[in-house]
Amino acid sequence: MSQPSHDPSASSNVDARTVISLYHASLRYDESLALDDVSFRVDNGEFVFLVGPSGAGKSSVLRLIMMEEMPSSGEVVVGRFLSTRVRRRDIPHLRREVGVVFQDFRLLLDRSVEENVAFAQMVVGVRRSQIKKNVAQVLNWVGLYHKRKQLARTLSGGEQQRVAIARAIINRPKILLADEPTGNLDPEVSQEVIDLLFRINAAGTSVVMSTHDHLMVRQYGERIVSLDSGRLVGDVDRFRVRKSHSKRSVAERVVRTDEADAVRREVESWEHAILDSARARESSLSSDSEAGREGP
Amino acid sequence: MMGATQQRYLLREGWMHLVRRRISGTVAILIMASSLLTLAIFSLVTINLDRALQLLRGDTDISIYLSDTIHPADRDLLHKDLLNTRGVKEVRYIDAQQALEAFRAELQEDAELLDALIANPLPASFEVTLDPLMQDSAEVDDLVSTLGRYPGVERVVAQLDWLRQLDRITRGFVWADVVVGLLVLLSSLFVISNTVRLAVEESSETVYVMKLVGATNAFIRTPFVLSGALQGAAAGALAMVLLLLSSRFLGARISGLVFFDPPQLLGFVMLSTFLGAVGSMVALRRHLRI
Repeated sequence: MSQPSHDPSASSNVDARTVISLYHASLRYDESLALDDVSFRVDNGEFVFLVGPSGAGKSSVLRLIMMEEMPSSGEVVVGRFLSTRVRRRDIPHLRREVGVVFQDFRLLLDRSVEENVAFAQMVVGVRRSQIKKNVAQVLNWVGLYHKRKQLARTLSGGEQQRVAIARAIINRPKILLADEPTGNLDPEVSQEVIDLLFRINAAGTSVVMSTHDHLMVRQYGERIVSLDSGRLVGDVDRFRVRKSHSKRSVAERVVRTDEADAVRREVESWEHAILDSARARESSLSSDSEAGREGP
Repeated sequence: MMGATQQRYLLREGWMHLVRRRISGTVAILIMASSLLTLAIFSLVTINLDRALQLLRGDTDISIYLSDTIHPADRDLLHKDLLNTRGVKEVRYIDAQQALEAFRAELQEDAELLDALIANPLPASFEVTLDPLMQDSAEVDDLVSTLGRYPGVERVVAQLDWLRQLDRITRGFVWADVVVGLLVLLSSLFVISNTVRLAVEESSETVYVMKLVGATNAFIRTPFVLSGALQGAAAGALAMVLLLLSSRFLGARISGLVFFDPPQLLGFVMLSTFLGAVGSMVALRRHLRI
């Protein structure tokens, strides 16, 4: 499922459940190597934390997934889009299937909340009456319907991020990418944003969230892909840990890299937190998924 | 296929690009309007000069009046030589009877005066039209004196020298029109692409968000192209209004001035609109990375 593939042909490897695949993807800027032979897959409905220190290549991975950059070597497959075959004019269609939120929100600050969210639908040609309905629904869902007429610049950071999330999901993408979405937010607000992302995930959208907040990963992390200096140093699925209750299987899930030992030590240190959070997640998931179904 | 919501958005956005950059937009429109006005004035001067010349000189450059007693063989020789002379475009033979008819037509209601004539006093003639490019004064003078030495030629009358000069000036104006036209083209493209470049730079965040949510490149470009076209249209319309006003003013003082007709005015505005659109596409090509 999440093991990196060594099969040279990407397309033959595409599993019906797989929504994102990186195959030996490298990204080179002039002299420096931003990503070095990174491979992993994300399945439909997964929530993946992309962790690593700043400069590890987390944003580069996200840029590859949204095809803002193309790999210098290797291949990236997102849904039906293959980086090696995609045409420039197809990329807008890819973007409609991939919602993105950023640390700095990227809202149009001189427009209202409503306009910011409606923008995403108008751009792809949804009818006005339908846009109105969808915007109201999604703003309700992120809890900002009452602020729909306010200019984006008047909102707090957490509210701005919720608007950005509303904009990212209004076109019902299959994938949501979140690049350090809580990086500019204080802990309580971060919590709200994370909850929102989990609700979106519970409604069926795959989420890839980058962060360097280990506390958060420890608390919520299920599948954790670790990067360091542009290399994949770990790919752990703690959901499997809970099922197997085995430390060894955790280690087996770790990608065999030079840094595997370091990752294994880290995983061991997480063990207690893992079991607690898995239980917590289980209960919050069942209640949240109901809320999620009312959403988009 | 684009929906009404999108079209409305694109129009409004194109307009907002202008509104947000009122000052630079207005300056661009003024510059473009003044260069268009220059082009229009040059064209009008050319057209009017050309027309005045047509009225003044008719279509004959040299008239060769023949004696009544010219031998037909001499006449045929002269005709043949004329046709073989460098720079002669057309030769028409007008016999005495035709000359009288033409004179009668010119006299109009006074034509009955001619009925008093017993014999036709008018000579036969060759009417020569020169190639407009071969109207050097010295050459024409040479030709006139050569023709005067033919047997049976009574008199050779050449078109007045200053008229020929004026003709050359008019042709010079046509070239000036071409040069001015090219300059106007370039300057219009430059000013429009400059304001559109500013718009692109100021809209980089919006453009990024549009790309993010899956707007097609055409959709992202359209408001910029529209704003360029709008500026072009405004400049064209302004130039034509100024031209109309000044023509009213001049027309009251100089009779017989030729002015653009409404389709030509519209054509000018359309050209200007087109230039605006092209100018913004130039800017987008260079400054919009999508």
